[in-house]
Amino acid sequence: MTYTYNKNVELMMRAAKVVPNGVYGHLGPAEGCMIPMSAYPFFVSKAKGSEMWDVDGNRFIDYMCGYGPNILGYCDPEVDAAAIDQMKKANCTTLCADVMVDFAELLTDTVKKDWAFFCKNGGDVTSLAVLVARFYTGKPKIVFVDNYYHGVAPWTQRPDTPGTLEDDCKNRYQVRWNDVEQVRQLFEEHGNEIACFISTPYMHGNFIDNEMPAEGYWQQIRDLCTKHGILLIIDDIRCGFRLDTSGSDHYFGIEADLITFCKALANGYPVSALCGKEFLKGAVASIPYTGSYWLQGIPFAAGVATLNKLRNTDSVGHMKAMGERVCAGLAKTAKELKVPLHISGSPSMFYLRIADELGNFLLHQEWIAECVKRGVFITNHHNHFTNMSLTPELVDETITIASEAMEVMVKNHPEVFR
Amino acid sequence: MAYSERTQAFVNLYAGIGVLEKYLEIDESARELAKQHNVAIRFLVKDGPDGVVDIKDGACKVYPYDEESKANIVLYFDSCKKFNRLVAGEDVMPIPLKGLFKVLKLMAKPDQWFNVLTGNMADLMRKTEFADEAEKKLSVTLAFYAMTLGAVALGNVDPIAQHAMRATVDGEVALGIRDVAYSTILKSGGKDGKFTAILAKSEKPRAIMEFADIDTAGGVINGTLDAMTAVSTGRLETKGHMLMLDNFNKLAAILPKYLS
Repeated sequence: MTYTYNKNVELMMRAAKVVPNGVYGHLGPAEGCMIPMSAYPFFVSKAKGSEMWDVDGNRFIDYMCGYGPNILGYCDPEVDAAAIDQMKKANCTTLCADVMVDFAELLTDTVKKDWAFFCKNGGDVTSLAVLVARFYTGKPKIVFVDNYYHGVAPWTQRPDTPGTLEDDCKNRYQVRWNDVEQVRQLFEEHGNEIACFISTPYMHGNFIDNEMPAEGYWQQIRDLCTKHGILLIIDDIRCGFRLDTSGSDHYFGIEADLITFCKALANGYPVSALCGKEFLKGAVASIPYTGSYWLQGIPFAAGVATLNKLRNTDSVGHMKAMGERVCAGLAKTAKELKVPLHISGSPSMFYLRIADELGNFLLHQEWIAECVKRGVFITNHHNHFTNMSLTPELVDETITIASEAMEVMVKNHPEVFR
Repeated sequence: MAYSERTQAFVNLYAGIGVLEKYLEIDESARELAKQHNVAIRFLVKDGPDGVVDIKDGACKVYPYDEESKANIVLYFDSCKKFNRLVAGEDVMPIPLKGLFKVLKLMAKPDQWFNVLTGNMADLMRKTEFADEAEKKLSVTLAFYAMTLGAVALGNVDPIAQHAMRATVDGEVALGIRDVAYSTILKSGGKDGKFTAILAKSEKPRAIMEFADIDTAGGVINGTLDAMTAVSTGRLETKGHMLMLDNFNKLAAILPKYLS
C-alpha cells in the first residue's frame, strides 16, 4: 500500500495561485527535485522527533531534517521550552534581548572562536564573511571550489542566473576540490588580489558523490592562505555540529579565520552566526550590517538550549552511529539485489546514488520515489541528515521500507536487473 | 543581461530561419510552396554567422557553411545588425556576391517566394489567437523547435549563455511536448565543448523535460506561464540529471529576448 496525496495536491493548487511556484526554493517540488511529483507530499501538518506527517495524514521517517536544522529532533521539548520561556519574557524588542550574550558566550566557547555575529540565514553570514575578508585584506577576489553552494546572493551566482549581473561575478576564481597544487599556483600568481578562500569542510555537492578531503588537504590550504594573506572561510552551515561540536575546522585539524553556522544552530529556530578570530573583530564591527529580526530573543534562547544539549551528550557519535546503521542496511539490500548503490560523505550526512549506464539518475529517482510513497522521506539529489532523536528501531524500519522500495524498482526494470 | 546583435544574428539564422526545416516537414501547404524552387542561400554575416539555407524538393536544411557547401546565392551583410534588420522584415539590401538574378527573382521584394515562405512561418509563430486547434498546435510546435534551436545557438555563441553551456555535462537533454513533438540538445566536448540541436527524440537521455500538452508548452515558451510553476503544478515533467535542466532553463530564460 502506497501513499496518496489528495489534500497535498489541493493545497498546492491553492498555493500556486498566490505564491510563486506554489512552494518556492529547496522545499518546493522544482528545486526539491520531487521526481515524479506524484510520489511526494508538499505540506506538513505536524512533526515530532524524526517523523513528520503530511496534510493527508501520511507518516514519514524524515532523513532531510528540514535540510539540516533538525538536529535534536522536531519539537525537542527542552529547546521548545526555552523558546516559550523567552517568548513570555521578550522577543523582538527595541533593545537587544539579554540572552544574546549568553548565546554568544556559549557559542564561541563551543566552537573555539573569539566572537559571534548573529543573523538569520546561512546566506546572511556567508555574505558577511566575504565582506569582512574584502575589507580586512583590501583585496577583491573570492576563491570558490567546484560544486560549491554558499547561498543565493549575487556574488555566489553565475552571470546567467536571472537577476544577476555580469559585474556581480567578476571577482572570483574557481578551483577543483582536493587539488592543492591548483590552489598553490593560483595563490602564487594572483594572491595579491585574493581576499578569501571559501569552502565547505568537505565536498557535499548535489547530484555528485560526496568527497572527503584528502589526507593533509586542509592543513596545506590553511598554510597557503596564511602565507599569502588570504582569509580561510569555512562554510559550516550544512555540516556544522554534525561532524564535530567544535566546528568542522577542528574536525579536520585546522582553524578557520571565519566560520559560518546556521541550520542546526538552534534546532530550527531562525538564527545564523559568523564566528571568527580576534584579529577580525574590528573589521566585522566596521561593516554596516543589520536586520529587523537579527537580534530576536527566541532563537537565541533556543540556541542556548540546543548547544547545551549537543555538548552534554554524545551527539556527534549518535548521529554517526545512526548514519552508519542506515547506510549498512541499504548497502546490504543493494548487494543482495545487485543494485549498484554508491554511498558517500559523512555517515551523519550520507549521500546516495544508484549508478546507471547513462548517468541520468532515472533508476535512482524511481527508487527514491518508491521510498517516499512508503513513508521514508529521502531525496534523489542532496545529502541526507541524521539527528539525535533517531533510534535504531526507526532506522531498521527505514531499511525495511527502503529495501521493499528497491525490490519494486528492480522488478520494474528486468531489462537492467536480470 | 546585455543584448547582443551578434547573438541575435546567430539565433535569427539557426533558430528563426532554421525552424523552416520543421515547418516544411509538418505543413503541407508550406511544403508545396517550397517545392517551387530549389535553392541554397548562403548568409555571410561579418563578425556573425556564416550559414546555408538549403531548400530542395520541398525540404529544408540550415547548417554552417563549409568548403563542401554549395550555394547558388551568396548574400553578404557588413554587420550583424543589418542581417537582423533583414530578418525583422525591414528594407535592407545585402550585397549579393553570387546569384544576383535569383535574388531578384526570389527574395528582393516582400511578395516574392522566399519572403512569403519565411513570412508565413513567422506570422504563424507570432500568433496568439488561432483559427482552430490545428493551427495552434502547429504554431506551438514550431515555437518548441525554435526554442531548441535558439537555446543551442545561444549556448554556443552568447558570452553569458556560454556559462550554462560550459556547465552542462556531456550527454543528451531530451525535450518534448507529450505525443506531439520531441527534440534533443546534445552537449559534447566537456567544459570547452558545444551544443548540437537534433530535432528528433533522444534515444539516450541524461535529462528529460516534457510538457504535458500544447497549452503548457505554448504558455512556457511565450512567457505567460513560468516553468517553475508548470513543474510545481505537474504540467511540466522533469527528471534525470536535473543540473542539465537547470542550465537549460537559464538559456530558456534568456531566449525570449532574442526569439520574439
